[in-house]
Amino acid sequence: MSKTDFHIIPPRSLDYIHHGAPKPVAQMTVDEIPPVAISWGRTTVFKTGSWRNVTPHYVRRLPPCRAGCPVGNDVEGWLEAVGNRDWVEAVRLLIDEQPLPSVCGRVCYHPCETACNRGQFDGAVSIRAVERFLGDRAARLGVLPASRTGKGSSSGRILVVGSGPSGLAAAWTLARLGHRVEVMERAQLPGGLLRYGIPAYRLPRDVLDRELARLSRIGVTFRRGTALLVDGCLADLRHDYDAVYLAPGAAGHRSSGISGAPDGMVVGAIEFLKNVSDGTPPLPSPSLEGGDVSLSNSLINKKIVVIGGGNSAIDAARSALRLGADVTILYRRTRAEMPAYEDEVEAALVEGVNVDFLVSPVRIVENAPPLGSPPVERGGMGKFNLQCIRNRLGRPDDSGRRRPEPVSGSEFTVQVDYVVDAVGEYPDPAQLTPDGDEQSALAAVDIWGRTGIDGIWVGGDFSGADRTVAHAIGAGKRSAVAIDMVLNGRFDPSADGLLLGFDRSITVGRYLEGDLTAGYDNPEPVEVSDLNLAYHSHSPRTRLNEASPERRTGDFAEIAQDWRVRSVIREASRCFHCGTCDSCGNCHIFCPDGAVVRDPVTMELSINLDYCKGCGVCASECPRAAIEMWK
Amino acid sequence: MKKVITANHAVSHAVRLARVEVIAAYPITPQTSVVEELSEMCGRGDLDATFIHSEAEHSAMSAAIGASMTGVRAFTATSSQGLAHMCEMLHWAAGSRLPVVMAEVNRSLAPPWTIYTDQQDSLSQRDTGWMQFYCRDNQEVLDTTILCFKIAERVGLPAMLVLDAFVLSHTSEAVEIPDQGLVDGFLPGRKAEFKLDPHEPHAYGGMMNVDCWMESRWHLQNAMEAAVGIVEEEAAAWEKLVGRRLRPLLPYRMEDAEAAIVCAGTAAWTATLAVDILREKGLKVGSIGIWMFRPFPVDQFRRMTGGLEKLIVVDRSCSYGHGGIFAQEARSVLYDVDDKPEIIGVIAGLGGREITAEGLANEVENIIREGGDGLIRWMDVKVK
Ligand SMILES: Cc1cc2nc3c(=O)[nH]c(=O)nc-3n(C[C@H](O)[C@H](O)[C@H](O)COP(=O)(O)OP(=O)(O)OC[C@H]3O[C@@H](n4cnc5c(N)ncnc54)[C@H](O)[C@@H]3O)c2cc1C
Ligand code: SF4
Ligand code: SF4
Repeated sequence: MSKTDFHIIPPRSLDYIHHGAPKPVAQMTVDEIPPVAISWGRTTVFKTGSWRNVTPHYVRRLPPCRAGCPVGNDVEGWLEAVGNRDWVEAVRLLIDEQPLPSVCGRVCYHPCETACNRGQFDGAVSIRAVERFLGDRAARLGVLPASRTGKGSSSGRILVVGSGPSGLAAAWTLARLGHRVEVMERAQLPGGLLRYGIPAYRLPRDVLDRELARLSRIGVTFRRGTALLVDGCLADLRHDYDAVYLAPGAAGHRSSGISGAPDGMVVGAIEFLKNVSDGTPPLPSPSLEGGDVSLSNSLINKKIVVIGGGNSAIDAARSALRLGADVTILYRRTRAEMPAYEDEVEAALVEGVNVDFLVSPVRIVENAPPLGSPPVERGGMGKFNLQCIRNRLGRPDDSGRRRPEPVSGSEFTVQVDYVVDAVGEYPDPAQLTPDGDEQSALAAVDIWGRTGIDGIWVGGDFSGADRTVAHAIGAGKRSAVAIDMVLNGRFDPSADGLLLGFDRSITVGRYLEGDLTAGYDNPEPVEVSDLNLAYHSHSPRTRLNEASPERRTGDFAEIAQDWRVRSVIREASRCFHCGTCDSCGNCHIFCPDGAVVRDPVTMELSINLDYCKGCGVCASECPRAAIEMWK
Repeated sequence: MKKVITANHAVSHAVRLARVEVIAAYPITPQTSVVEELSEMCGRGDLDATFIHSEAEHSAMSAAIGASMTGVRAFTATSSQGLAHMCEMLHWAAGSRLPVVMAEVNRSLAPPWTIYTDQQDSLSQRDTGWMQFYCRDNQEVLDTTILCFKIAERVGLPAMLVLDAFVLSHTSEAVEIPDQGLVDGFLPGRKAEFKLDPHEPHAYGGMMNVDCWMESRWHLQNAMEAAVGIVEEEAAAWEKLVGRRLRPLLPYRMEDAEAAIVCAGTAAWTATLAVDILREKGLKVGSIGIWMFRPFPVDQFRRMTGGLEKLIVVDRSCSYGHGGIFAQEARSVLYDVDDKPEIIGVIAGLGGREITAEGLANEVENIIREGGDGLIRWMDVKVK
């Protein structure tokens, strides 16, 4: 063989390869036989697709963040848009499902993050912080959500009672669907607990006002300082309104029943927080103190005991601390049973709130010498003696938490100036109607919020078991869509196509587009075991910076600090995009039959069923569970 | 441009200059810095290649094979146990006639555990159908790497360039790094004669029946034979461009030699120093460095050793139960030559034991003065 004409494959063999063998191999010379095993002719004749008994499908699956969000936020959608620096799209996707993004971006207990699959990898995506950023941007830019266009839908007159998050969400949804909505609010300013409950260091009031302005801009009207208390019957409201949504919250106040307390010494947590929000001294009552008191100095050198273990207790305690008080929370069980959110408890402790567990208050022992307790400290703080008793945990009660049982003989006293009672609130239908029958008819009969009275709907804290802002919003959206369907004669209480996730939240965005499905091929939330984690690399979670405990306890300025754009993009880019194809092309790369085809122009992927043998390699190599094998 | 770099980094630079498109590798001492540097080059964008960090060497070679089948230029690197782990796929690469290039850093095979150099690992893969080239210094490493791509792609066989652990891999020397333009001119992009192509789909690597399997191996041997000429051609072309001479065999002071030392790798440089010592003493000794071991340059070897009295073949390997592997090659190549020299096989430098110029000169002087002793001689081994 000469050096220059050396060929790896004898040239004649190539012809054979492309056109098939012209003669039996047995009759070939060595030069006619190719040196490697190559099929004569193309393999396209083998339709390996005929072996298939399961078929891959590109699917959209419900991401767990959205399944976990009681509002029904399209979290994955807006994270994707942020990752692409498409702010217009990100804000649009957010504002189409969420009336109060800047609020939830601050105070929501972010069940989305609890559900986030990344939490089982290297830390959940800081979804709430991204929502905060986008919500603020939407408000600054004055972006409005999409509204129903075109004719053919009937427009009704609707009354919403209560301007807390639930009433606001219902009003926002109904206004977008073309109805005339009037919100009746007992207080002077709208917002419900967002204005009068949650302290400003977590939710600045100008943030709330910006969100309320957006509601006014889409046509919602407010009737303030007007309480609904119907003399006749609620059903009569139907003369003036096509539907009524009642979201008056849980305004009944429970008391811990401390006996012997002088007037004004024990105050409910909600009242306390409302006063702080109003800018009036939350305590004391004039009968106890003389002289000029302003909000900022009202509690200096006062010893406050807060009773309870929920979020109101924590907020009241942290507010009192900011007004100069020495604060102790007494809780009858242990930290593990505390209903307050872990982060809030931690923040309170860091700021210097004392918490004494397994303690119940009994009564005020006026002027009695302290029983077995240390002498009064700190310059005579604590005018009164509060007698308490220690508990131990017994058997679990209905809530599954272990019941506190008093230990006899364990009584002791603490010095106190004021007691803030934060043992809980309950829905009180008597504040809406004096009629006992109607009161009992106001219980919700289904998740849509229908009641025993035709055309009267309820939601939010008034009827819901989960008392959070996000749940209140979710309920408002859901009832609003149901009301619209009723008014358009197409309500089917059993149709749940638009409902999503663990809390059956609803997507208004899809409904507006005329869709009656949430848009997922598989409504089961993607689990972390469905993902192929080999394709995801670790990157730590970023959080919002916070003012230091020393600095922040001096006033009510917001603790959380704004994020920079760079951080928002980096954090959004951590999203796995559970259940959504992002055209990464792994399926195309790994398909052993070359059956996954990518359009060179659109980059779109599809399956050539002639050659897909159903092996499922594409599905298992998909980093984000966006391919399913179907029978 | 001249740069002071290790031989491992010389490999990396050569791979970069060769515009390799897929690198699949698993790290192993002393090869690691080859691929470490390459991954950084990819990361920096100096090299536009897909870098696959495989889970082991068997997969690294498999990935390189898969990539090569699609017609791209593929590279990997390994050492010792890693090479042994690849063994099955070495046969696969050659049997599929794929021009994969691999840098093999010579390290002894365990146990007993060691990380130092000898040639046991690469020489135990002698019969896989891979071409093998042994380098003596960092510059040769760079030149050989570039040549390997050219040769492998013309011959249609994989090529392994072999370098000593630490003595080369981790030792820095001044290396002339050629310009990209020069390398592009010498080594254009790969043009595969056959490849996996979705637009012209064929099945590869399937069954070949008894009526044609053997012919495929006839082709393979044929390619190896043709390779000898192709290597000489390409080495001469490279020499024209850069002025550095590489040939299948690298002679030193052989013109009037009566005896010669034969060896490969850095020991071949040491041998030239030993030759100088022996010449001082009036002994007419030369040396032959084996650069190309597969295909074996039979004619060149016969020509170069014809008329010698003694051939001292130094092996950093042993085919246990027989003797040094180069010594066996020499004996078989020279068997039917009439004026063949006496061949003395010396086993030396196993497991990284140093071969010094003085020690080697001493050994050779003893052999010349006292005569060899049979098939196998152990240099520098502690005996009672
Ligand atoms: C101190 C505190 C802190 C909290 N912190 C958080 C938090 O950080 N995150 C979170 O998710 N949730 C938090 N919650 C819970 C959350 O605030 C509530 O779940 C949510 O506000 C309920 O919304 P709603 O619209 O149902 O009721 P509300 O917000 O209570 O609003 C009800 C509104 O109805 C009005 N109203 C009542 N009766 C009448 C009537 N007869 N006529 C007219 N108007 C009437 C009220 O004045 C009020 O404005 C907190 C609650 C409290 C008390
Ligand atoms: S509303 Fe709450 S649960 Fe929903 S995305 Fe925002 S933070 Fe998460
Ligand atoms: S990774 Fe992204 S899509 Fe998945 S749960 Fe978390 S935020 Fe949602």
